[in-house]
Amino acid sequence: MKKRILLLVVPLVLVFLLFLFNNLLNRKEIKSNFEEITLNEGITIRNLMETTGLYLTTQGDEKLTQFLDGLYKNESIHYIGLFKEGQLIYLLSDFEGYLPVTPSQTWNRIMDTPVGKIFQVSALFGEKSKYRLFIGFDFDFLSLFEGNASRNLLYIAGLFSVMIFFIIILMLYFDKKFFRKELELVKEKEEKERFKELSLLTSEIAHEIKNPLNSIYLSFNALEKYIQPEDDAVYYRDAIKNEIKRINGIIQSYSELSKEIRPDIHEIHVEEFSREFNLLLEEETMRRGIHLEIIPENLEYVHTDPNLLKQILLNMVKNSMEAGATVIGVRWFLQKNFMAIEVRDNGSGINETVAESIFKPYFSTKTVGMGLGLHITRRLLQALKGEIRLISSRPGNTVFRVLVPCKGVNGRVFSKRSESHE
Amino acid sequence: MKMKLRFFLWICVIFTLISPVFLYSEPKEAIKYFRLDTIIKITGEITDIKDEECYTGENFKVLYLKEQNSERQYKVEVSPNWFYELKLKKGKTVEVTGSYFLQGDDHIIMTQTIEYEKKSYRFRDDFGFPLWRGKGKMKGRGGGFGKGRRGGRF
Repeated sequence: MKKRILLLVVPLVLVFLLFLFNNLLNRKEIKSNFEEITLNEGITIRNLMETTGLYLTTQGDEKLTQFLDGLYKNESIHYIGLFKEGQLIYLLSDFEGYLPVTPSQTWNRIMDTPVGKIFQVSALFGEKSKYRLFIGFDFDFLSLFEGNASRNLLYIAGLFSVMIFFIIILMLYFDKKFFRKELELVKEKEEKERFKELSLLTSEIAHEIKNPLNSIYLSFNALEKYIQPEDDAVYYRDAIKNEIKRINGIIQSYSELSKEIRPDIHEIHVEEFSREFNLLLEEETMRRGIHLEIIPENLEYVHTDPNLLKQILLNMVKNSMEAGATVIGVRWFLQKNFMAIEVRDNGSGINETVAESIFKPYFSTKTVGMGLGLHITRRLLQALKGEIRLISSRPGNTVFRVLVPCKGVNGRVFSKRSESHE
Repeated sequence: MKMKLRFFLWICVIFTLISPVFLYSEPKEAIKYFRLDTIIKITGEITDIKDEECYTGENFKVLYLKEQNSERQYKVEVSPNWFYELKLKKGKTVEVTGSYFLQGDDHIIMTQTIEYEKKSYRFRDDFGFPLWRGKGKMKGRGGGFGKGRRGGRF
């Protein structure tokens, strides 16, 4: 993980450093060029000042100072100092007593001050250069330029930092997600393998039990004719028969676990299917006093494997019955691209702590059953490329929803009632 | 004659020896400014502390100092009142570094640093730029640059 972050972050940092280096070089070059241009321009100003000064001195010092007074009104000038024969005779300064010159100085220069750069022009004029004039111009726009450049650099640095931060966060997030998914897949694979081994073993045992069970059943059939209808033995006969059937059912379930499920898709009429399904459970629901209602909402025909679907619904309804439900509602409807079947009951519900385990094989909280019903349902649905979800686990309102994609199997689609086959 | 010549020669020798004293003239300016070539350091006793308008607009804290060695009285211009935070009193001894010049009969020092009780307080930079002008942008004149660092320990 760290390596991956470094692989992404290091190039970004390098790009930024490269940019920084380039930016610094550019700034330095611009600054140096700018200063050079200014100093060259300064020569012109100096010549101009010298000519003006020379002219004005012929008019008297007063004229010269009047001119300087006017000049100082310009806001870009911070100080003016005039020396005559080495003596300061005129000073106007924005900063109390500040005149950074020596009377012998004769060159133009750019100075750094705590408030920015100042471009100082010096001019010599008069007989034997007895006048020396110093003017400090505001050169702060260079500082302004530098400030802007620094600010831009700061923005870009901020942008890079934010980018790096988000990259790391995203990588951590995706890595965690990927890791979690990978872990889930490994877990699932291990579970499948364990289940496969277990299924193989149980189907072998089932096969071994089936033969003697067949013999028992045949022998029992042979014995049956000796039992008279009025005998007490009739009760025991029925009990033995039921138990043999139950053992056979268990064996059948175990055998089916290891079998590969191959869906056989047909077009089925939903209402007809519902009626048949109702008939299949009629006896049991009557006996248990359960109200079972199947409502196909906006579907008339669907393309699916009727046997698998029947098995799925049977498992789900039986699950509800075993949870002590007295009212079970099965609702069929079309949900986006899925055929949805919702089974709702008023049974005892499912404890939230075990909700995640209910689809695991041999997991059951009930006293009856082997804990295979919901697991087999999920396997059957996987064969149809569908899924099962627990929507509500509350006692009195437990809802399971089955979703099967419309084009999930062989690209076949479901038909809405409005598009019925007429 | 010989005596007269000897006397004359002696006069010449003495004059040659003392001539630098006559030749030396203290920097005397009509207009005061922070001269970079007259920066001196003096130690003296404070004889008075006053608020005076040294430049147009603001009242400055001014110390009157009697130099320890020469007994000369100096007028030490420190900074505007709002920038001045020293708790100096009459009779205390301070060491002042600044630009010296003579204005009329006044020996004036434009303060760069004040050393007091082993602490240094700075008021102007090496080129005499007043630190109370701060690091703000230069926008026009007559103040308004924002207050800078007050005279603190450096």
